[in-house]
Amino acid sequence: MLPVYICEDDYEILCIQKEYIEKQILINGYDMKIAVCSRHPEEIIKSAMNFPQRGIYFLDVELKNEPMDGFGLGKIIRETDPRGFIIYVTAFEELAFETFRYHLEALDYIIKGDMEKMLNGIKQGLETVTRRMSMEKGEQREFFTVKVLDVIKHIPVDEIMFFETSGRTHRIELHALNDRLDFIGSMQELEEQLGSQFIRVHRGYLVNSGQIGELDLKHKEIRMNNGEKCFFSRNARKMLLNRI
Amino acid sequence: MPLLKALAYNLSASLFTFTFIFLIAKFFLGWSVIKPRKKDYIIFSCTVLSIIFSDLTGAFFYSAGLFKKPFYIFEIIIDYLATITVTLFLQSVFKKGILNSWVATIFLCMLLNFSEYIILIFLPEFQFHIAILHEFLLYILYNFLATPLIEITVILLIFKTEAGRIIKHRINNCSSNPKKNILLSMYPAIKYIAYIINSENLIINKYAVSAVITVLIVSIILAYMEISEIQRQKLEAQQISIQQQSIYIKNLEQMQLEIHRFRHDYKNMMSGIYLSAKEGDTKAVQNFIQDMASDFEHQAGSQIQKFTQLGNIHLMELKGLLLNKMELMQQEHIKYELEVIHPFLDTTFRRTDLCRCFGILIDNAIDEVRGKENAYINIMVSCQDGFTTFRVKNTLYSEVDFHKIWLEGYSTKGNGRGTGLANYKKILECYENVFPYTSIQDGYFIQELKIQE
Repeated sequence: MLPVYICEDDYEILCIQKEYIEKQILINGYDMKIAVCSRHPEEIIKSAMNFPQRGIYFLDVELKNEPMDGFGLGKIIRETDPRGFIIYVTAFEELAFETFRYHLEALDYIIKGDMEKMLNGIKQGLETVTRRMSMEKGEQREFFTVKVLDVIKHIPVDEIMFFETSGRTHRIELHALNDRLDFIGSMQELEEQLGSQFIRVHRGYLVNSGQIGELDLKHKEIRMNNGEKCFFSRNARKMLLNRI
Repeated sequence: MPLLKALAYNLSASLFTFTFIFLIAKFFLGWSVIKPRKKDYIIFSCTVLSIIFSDLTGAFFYSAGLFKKPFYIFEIIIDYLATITVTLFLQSVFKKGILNSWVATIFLCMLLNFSEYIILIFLPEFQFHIAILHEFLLYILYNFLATPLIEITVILLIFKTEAGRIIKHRINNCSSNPKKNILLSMYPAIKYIAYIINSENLIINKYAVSAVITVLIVSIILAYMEISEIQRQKLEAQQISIQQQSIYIKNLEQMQLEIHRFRHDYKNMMSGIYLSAKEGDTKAVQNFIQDMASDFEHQAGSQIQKFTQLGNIHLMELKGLLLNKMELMQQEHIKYELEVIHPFLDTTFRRTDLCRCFGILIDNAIDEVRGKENAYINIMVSCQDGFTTFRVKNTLYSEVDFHKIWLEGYSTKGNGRGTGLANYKKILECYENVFPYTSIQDGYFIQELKIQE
């Protein structure tokens, strides 16, 4: 059962939100329950810390007379609940939502000026959460997770072409179907972490064997399924031929 | 035989000088030694060869008695040879780029020459006859003891004062103005003007005079550079602020127009709603309030919001760049958002490089969405906990061969373009603390640049 948290500094709106969410849970038979409704972020944090569990959070962005705003609150929630669903409620339309999404992986934002729109937004938010949850159950996809400075990136393992060392110290470039990123790491650790699906074909390359398109033995080149090329060393030649 | 002897002395002096130059570059210019790779050994051996070559040439000129010929042509040749050699040496050890190394070399030469002149004031003759014992001893004393001592004193003096800051600034920003580099490059030739003027032995101690003249020339060059640099910067800042002001005014006028229009509508609407309120139709009154609020938000609010976000950027150069791009997007009728929720003060990334990189990313985004339906660009600058993120996100229309966009000359817009991202990558290669990220997600193209401050 997913606990629902609401933090909203306007008491009237808080009551309306609570009532509406309870009604929605009842009508649609969602596997959720309201855990805490509060005007103070500290109460949300306390409760979330005591029962660390994936939850749904409706957070007001502008919290008047409180030590933190919704952004700060979201950051603290993320520490205990990295996979929870955060939905922001704001009075301002042009709030920097991309920034919220980027740093807190916020799910959505709802504008509270228009009561009807707000309730509709809450309804849609709950629907999205349920959809996500059922999708995750069916999904078997593996992700490669890597921390780049202050954010964590998830790349589907089956989309990765290869890892390449760069000239700078400990810097590794990841080449994937739809992503390209730099991070700090070591080839040896990656090799151990990723297992036999990835082959160290060269001192500077760790290749996804599932993405190898063809081998150019003359030029010692591997052409990947997306057309990208990388090199292999003489020692790796035999191993590559065996694997294909 | 005298040739070999001269060569041997030259070589030992070179060894000494190069150690010295290495130490100055490392400790006073703050350059760090880059770990060498295979290719660099070739450059390094070339450097060693060229050191030997220039020493040999010097020794040959000396033994053939070619020095002190009219216009000091052979001395000038030797000086340029030496400059090239030192440049190669600096490049192979520190890899700061040929131009940077060259300018640094000129400055180091100036310093060393200056110190040399000071010591020459106390010496009777310029050329040593190393065959004579006491002159040979003097040469040793001069070369390996007195000169370094004076040099250290001069360098300490210069780098502990304002002059050192100017020199460092000049070396680091040498690519900004090629004219000054040419002026600097003339230095090895210019310094002989002092000799030519003073060749008649008019004054008793001619080396002292030469030293003074050289110092004068050097300081004039430096002062000229610094003044013009300051002027250029002032002008640039002025231009940015003028540009900024004109855009601000334009926006204010636009907002005023919108508010004016809103006021007009609002008067009409008010008289309508007055009747509804009188009749007790609360539903209609509620709707009215809602519509009015969202109308206002729509008409004036978004403009105000954008400029509040821009106000969070305190780096002049970046502000100028963003203003420029915002104006461009407005002209092209591209819907865009700018998000800067925390004040952005400064970054360890070099400002010019930051503007170039961010400019490339924004230009690419504009190129992609220009003239398309539902065009949207989101620009984010976010700094917190010691990390700064620059992010550009735009709607994607064309099918992109994802790995090819990094190749020089590749572009989805036809030939002769597409140098942008190749350049971007090249700039980033110089930094250890900058992490790029590129992705295609849900029909958006995302470019990110993260900096560890």
